[in-house]
Amino acid sequence: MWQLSAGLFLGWSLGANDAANVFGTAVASRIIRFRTAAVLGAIFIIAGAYLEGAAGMETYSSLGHYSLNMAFIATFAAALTVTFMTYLGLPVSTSQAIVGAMVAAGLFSSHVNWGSLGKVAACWVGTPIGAAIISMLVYRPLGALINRVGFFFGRDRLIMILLVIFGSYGAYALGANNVANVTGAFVASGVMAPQLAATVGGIAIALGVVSYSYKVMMTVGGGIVALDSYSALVVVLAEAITVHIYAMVGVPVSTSQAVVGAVLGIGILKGVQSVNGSTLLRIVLGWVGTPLITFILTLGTVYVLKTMGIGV
Amino acid sequence: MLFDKDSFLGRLFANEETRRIHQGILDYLEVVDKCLDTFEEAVHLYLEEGFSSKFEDMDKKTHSYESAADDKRREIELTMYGRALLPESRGDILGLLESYDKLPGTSEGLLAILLVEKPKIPQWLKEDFVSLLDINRRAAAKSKEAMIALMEHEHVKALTDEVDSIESESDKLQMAMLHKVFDSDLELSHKYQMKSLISKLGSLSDRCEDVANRIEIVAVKRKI
Repeated sequence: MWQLSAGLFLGWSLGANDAANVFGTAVASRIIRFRTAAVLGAIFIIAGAYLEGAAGMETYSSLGHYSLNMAFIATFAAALTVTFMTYLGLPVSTSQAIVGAMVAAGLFSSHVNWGSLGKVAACWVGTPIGAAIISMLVYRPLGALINRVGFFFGRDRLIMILLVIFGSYGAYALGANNVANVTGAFVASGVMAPQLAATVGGIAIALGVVSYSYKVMMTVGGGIVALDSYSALVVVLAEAITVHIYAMVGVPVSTSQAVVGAVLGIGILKGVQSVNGSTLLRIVLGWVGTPLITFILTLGTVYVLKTMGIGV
Repeated sequence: MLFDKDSFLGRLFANEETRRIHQGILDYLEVVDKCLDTFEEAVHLYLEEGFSSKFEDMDKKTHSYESAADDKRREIELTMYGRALLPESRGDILGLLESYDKLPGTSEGLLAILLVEKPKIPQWLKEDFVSLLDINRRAAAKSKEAMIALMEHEHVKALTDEVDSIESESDKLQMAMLHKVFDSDLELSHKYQMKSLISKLGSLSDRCEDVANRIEIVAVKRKI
C-alpha cells in the first residue's frame, strides 16, 4: 500500500513542527535535554494516538468516502502544502490542510457531509478561544499552589517538573488529536481500520519528533520563554487540555492556535496586549487560507488526472 | 506552605545541582563576610596607628578574600549553566551576585585610597569613622541575612526594610561628618580628601541598599 507513504510524510512533518508546542519551552530554556523531550514526546504521542486517536478518524470518515488513490492525493496535497508553507515561514495547520484536501476529494467521489464540516470548522474557531479560557482559569489557582512552595530552588524545581509532566500530557493530547490528520483519509477510504491507522500515524508523528523537531523547538520555545517560565507552563497545560478535549470530541485542531489562545488568555488576565492584529490575521489565514490551498491543489490534481484518463 | 526546604518533598525536589548552587552561594557569602571583617579590622588599625606594614598585610588579606569571592562567584555561574534552574532564576541569581560583589569591591577600593594617599585623619573625626564602619557592617550583615532568606523562605521584606533604615542612618552620619569637616579649620585640600574618604566609606551601605532592593524585586517577581 504505497499510497500510505503520503500519510507517513504528513505525520513526519507534523511531528517535526508541532512537538515544539509541547516541549519547546522546556528544551529551549535548557530544562530538559532534547533527547529526553524527543523520547518522552514519541512515547506519549504514540500512546495518545493508540488510545484516543480513533475518534478523530471517525469524524474524518464522516466527511466523505473515496478511493485509496484519492486518499493518497488528498494526504499528499496536504503534506506538500504544510511543507511548502513551513518552508516559507507562513502559518500552517495540518488539521486545516487535510480538511481542505478531504473536502475536495469528497466532492469528486461521493458527497461531502456539510454538517460534519461545520462541526470541524466550529472547533477550529473554538480552539484559541477555549485555550484562552482554560489558561485564564488555570493561571491563578496553579500559581497559588506553586507560591506555597517555601523556597527558591524548590519552586524552580516544581515548575520544571510540571513542565515535563504537562509537556508529556501535551504530547499525549497531540497524538490523540492530530493522528487523524495523518492517516484519517485512509480510514475514510476504507482500507485501514481506525485503530491500526492511529498506531501507524502515531509512529509517523513520533518519527518526525525524534528526527527533526529540534530546530523548531528552539525557535518556538524561545518565543514562548519570552513570557516567563510560569506563564509558559500555563500555556503548555492550557494547550494540552484544549487539544485533549477536542480529541475526545473527535475533531483534530491546531496546537499552534491553541498556544496563541493560551498566551492571549494570560495577556487578558494580566491586562496586557499580548496578541496583536497581525497574529490574529495569521490565525484567520490559517482557518481560511490553508484549507483553500489544499482544496484547490487536490481539486486541480484530480481534475488533471481525470482529464488525462487516469482513474482515481 | 506546601513544603519547605527541609521537608521530605523539599529534599526530594532539591537535586544535586541546586544543592551545589545553594551551598556555593552560602560559601560565597561567607568569603565576602571574611573580606568585610578583614577590611573593618584594617580600617580600625589605620585609624589607631595610621599607615603601617601591618595595615599593608591586612590590605593584602582583604584583597585575597576579594579574589576568593570572585572565584566562588565564577564557580556558581558555571554550575548555573546546567539545567538546575529556570532561565529567569539564573538571571536573578547572577544579578544578585553581581550586586553583592560590589561590597568587597568597594572595601578594596577604600583600602587602596588609604594605601596610596595615606590620609591624615583628624582625631575628632575618628570616632565618627568607627561609627560609620559599624553602620556599614550592620547593613552588610542584614543584606547577607536577606540573601539567605530569599533562598530559604523568601520572606525578605522585614530584612530589606532594615537595610534601608540602616542606610538612612549612614546618610545622616555622613552628612554630619561632612559638616564637621567643612566647618573645621583644615586645609581645603585636606577637607576634600576627607570628603572623598567619607563618601567612599558611606557608599558601602549604599551598595548594601542596592543588594536589598534587588532582593526585594526578585522576591516580588517570583510571586505569581
